[in-house]
Amino acid sequence: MTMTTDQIIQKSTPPRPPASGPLRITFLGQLAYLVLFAATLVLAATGVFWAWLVQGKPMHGWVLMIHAAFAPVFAVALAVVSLTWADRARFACRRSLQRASARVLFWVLLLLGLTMILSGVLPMTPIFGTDGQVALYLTHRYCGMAIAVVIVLHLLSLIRVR
Amino acid sequence: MRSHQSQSAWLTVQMTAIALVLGAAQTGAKENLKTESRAPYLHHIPLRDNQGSLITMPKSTTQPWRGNPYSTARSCSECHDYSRIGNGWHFNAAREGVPAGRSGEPWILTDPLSHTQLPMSYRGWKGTFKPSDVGIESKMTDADFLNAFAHHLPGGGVGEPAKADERTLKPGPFQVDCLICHEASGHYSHELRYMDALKGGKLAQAASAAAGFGTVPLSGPQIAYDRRRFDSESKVSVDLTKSVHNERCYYCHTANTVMGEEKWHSDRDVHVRAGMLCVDCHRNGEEHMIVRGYEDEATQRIVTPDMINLRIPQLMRINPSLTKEQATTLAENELRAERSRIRSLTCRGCHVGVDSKDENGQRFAADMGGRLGAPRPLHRGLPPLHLEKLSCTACHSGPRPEAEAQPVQTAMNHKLGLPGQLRAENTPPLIVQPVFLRVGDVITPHRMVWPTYWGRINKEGVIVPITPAEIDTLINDKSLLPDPPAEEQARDPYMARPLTDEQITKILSALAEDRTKDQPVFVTAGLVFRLADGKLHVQSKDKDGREFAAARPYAWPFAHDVRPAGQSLGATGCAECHSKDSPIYFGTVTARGAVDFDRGVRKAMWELRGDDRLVASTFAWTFVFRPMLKYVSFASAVVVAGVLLYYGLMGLGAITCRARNQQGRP
Repeated sequence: MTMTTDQIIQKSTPPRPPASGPLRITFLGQLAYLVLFAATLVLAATGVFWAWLVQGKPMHGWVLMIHAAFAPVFAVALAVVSLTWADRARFACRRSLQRASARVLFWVLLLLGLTMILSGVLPMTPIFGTDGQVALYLTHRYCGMAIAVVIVLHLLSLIRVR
Repeated sequence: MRSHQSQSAWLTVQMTAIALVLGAAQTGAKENLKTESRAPYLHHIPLRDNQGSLITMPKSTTQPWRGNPYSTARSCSECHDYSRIGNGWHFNAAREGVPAGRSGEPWILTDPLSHTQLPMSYRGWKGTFKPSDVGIESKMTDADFLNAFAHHLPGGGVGEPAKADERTLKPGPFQVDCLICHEASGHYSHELRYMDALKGGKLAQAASAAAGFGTVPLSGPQIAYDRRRFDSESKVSVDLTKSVHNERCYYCHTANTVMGEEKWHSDRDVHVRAGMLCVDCHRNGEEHMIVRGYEDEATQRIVTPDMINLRIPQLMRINPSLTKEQATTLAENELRAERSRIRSLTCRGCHVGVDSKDENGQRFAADMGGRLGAPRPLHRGLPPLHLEKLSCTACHSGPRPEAEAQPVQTAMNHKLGLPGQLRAENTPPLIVQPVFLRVGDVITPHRMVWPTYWGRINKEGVIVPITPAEIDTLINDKSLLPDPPAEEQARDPYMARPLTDEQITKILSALAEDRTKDQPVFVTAGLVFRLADGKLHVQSKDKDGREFAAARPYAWPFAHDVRPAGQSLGATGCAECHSKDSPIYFGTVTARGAVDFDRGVRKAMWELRGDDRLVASTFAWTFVFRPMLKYVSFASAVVVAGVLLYYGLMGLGAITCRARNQQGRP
């Protein structure tokens, strides 16, 4: 008797328990999101508002140190958020409470966050020359601006659901 | 008879007219004589003395040949515009209305007996003294300045009377010695120039002696000419070049950090090692306004009347319908537009390029970077901010910075190029480098010197230096500093041994004997010594708690020797600058002078720059965590990328699965 691949998988996988109620974000996920939001605010305040809009020149001194101090916080929080929120943000997940717009914004947030982390940390490696560094710097700046907007919109979309 | 006389008179008139016409034509031709070739022109020329008379060899070979010294102003101006060249950068320091430009190396008046070291310049750079600033009863004069520094002065400037400035071409005793730079055979003798002529105050004879045209007799203002240098027409052949050899520049612009017997370890400038000439970058037109090569120079550079006057004939030749006024305006406009082109002769301009456009919107080829084959720097891993905050020289020039700024000797101030007993680290004047100060917002390496002098402080608190000659007379007359034993004199020929408090007290007491004068002080190493109640008091700050302006150091940026990229600051990582003991922030600079080294005012680089220590040290401290920041960030990025990849693939799988189901395939 021949079996299709689906039949083999169905036979070997134990039956799932029946779905029960909506999937909520764990406490860790909520905490990580809160930290991510706060870190984004600080990074945007130092990098976008103060340095770019107010000073009109790159960060230096205390502002740069604050920015650099919150950068790893942002990175770690984004990693935790990605792990704890991703399953709920799947478009196929019917038990999630998130609206489609929130899910789209979440994935955009992850993409921008990844770009921002890499464009922030790659200049610290001896890979890119001046032209590459400038490109990374501009990428970092514009990603930062975008991420600040996206995270606010994402939060708003979550609040509206609640 | 009458007829003969009238014929003779007519002939004379005719001959005179022909001579005048020919003379005028000849003069006119000489003014425009140019070869316009890259091939050097062999200068087989007659020499003229200061009165314009040809220096002619006597027919009798047994007769000793003595004559007036040759005059560059008269000899070279046959084809070159001496008066305009004489207003060039090397000669125009004392001229009114010449922009001083960025601070440069001063002449440091060094007197061993009084231990004076006083930075001087006619340019008025802040922190330098003009001769008229030195001296109370008797001021220092231009002649004193010449006597002190003629050994490395190229002539011209204060060596010529003021009339020369008015284009009257009335040459003075110490004319611009063209050969000091342009002689190419290597037979120009600086030693003969100084030892035989300048040292004895024989300024006018120096050029003839140095060029080897003759020797300076023990007495008299003449030159004992060497017949072998002249041909039968009394002309000399001189090997001159427009592409001045580096060795000529080095006579005045050598700067040694590695001294004495260790000197062979020095690699010198990477550009020179690559075969470049100093004048490849430090260029000039006929007006001799040499490009100094710093970034703001283009904006600080003026268009001089000499530049305009040299351009006018060219424009009038191109367009004969131009009037003199039109040509002047056009020349000025052209020259103003051309000023920006010297930006391509800076480090950045040559290696990276500068933005520029001509009147047609085209970029000048020279501004595109890579000039003379200059490699474009990669600066891998260097955030671009550094290129705005640091000059190129901060990382690439001078010796690699150490915990303490190091002594440096310069040709102009240590008489390098002239034979002398071994100069050591403590040979005055005491100059240190690199000191990282800001020029505008940009951190730039500097050399620094602290003034050391005896002076008097007036009621307003202003200290006026006393001339070293006056102090020397006092010391000698009253035997205040007895001659050291012969053995010590031999060991310390430059009298570099610091003064003791007792010696300072003695001299100050002697100066204080005349109570009609202001209180005497001794300024050295950032300190002010003075007597109060018969005791010596040392102050580093005035009654208002500020540094004594008169004791402040003078600093000037430097750019050479340039180190290769592999030896630049930061080549081994960020911590070279961003660490708690990095020289650029926390290196110390100790004021050096006529007292023991450990008594001098000591400051860190951040302090000299006026930076915030807390910010600097905290920022340096954060670099301890820099590796952790990288690891955490990369790890987080990997996690986020993994999540994106995983769910991305899942989403892709769902889409393909759905598409498959819609097509009804199993």
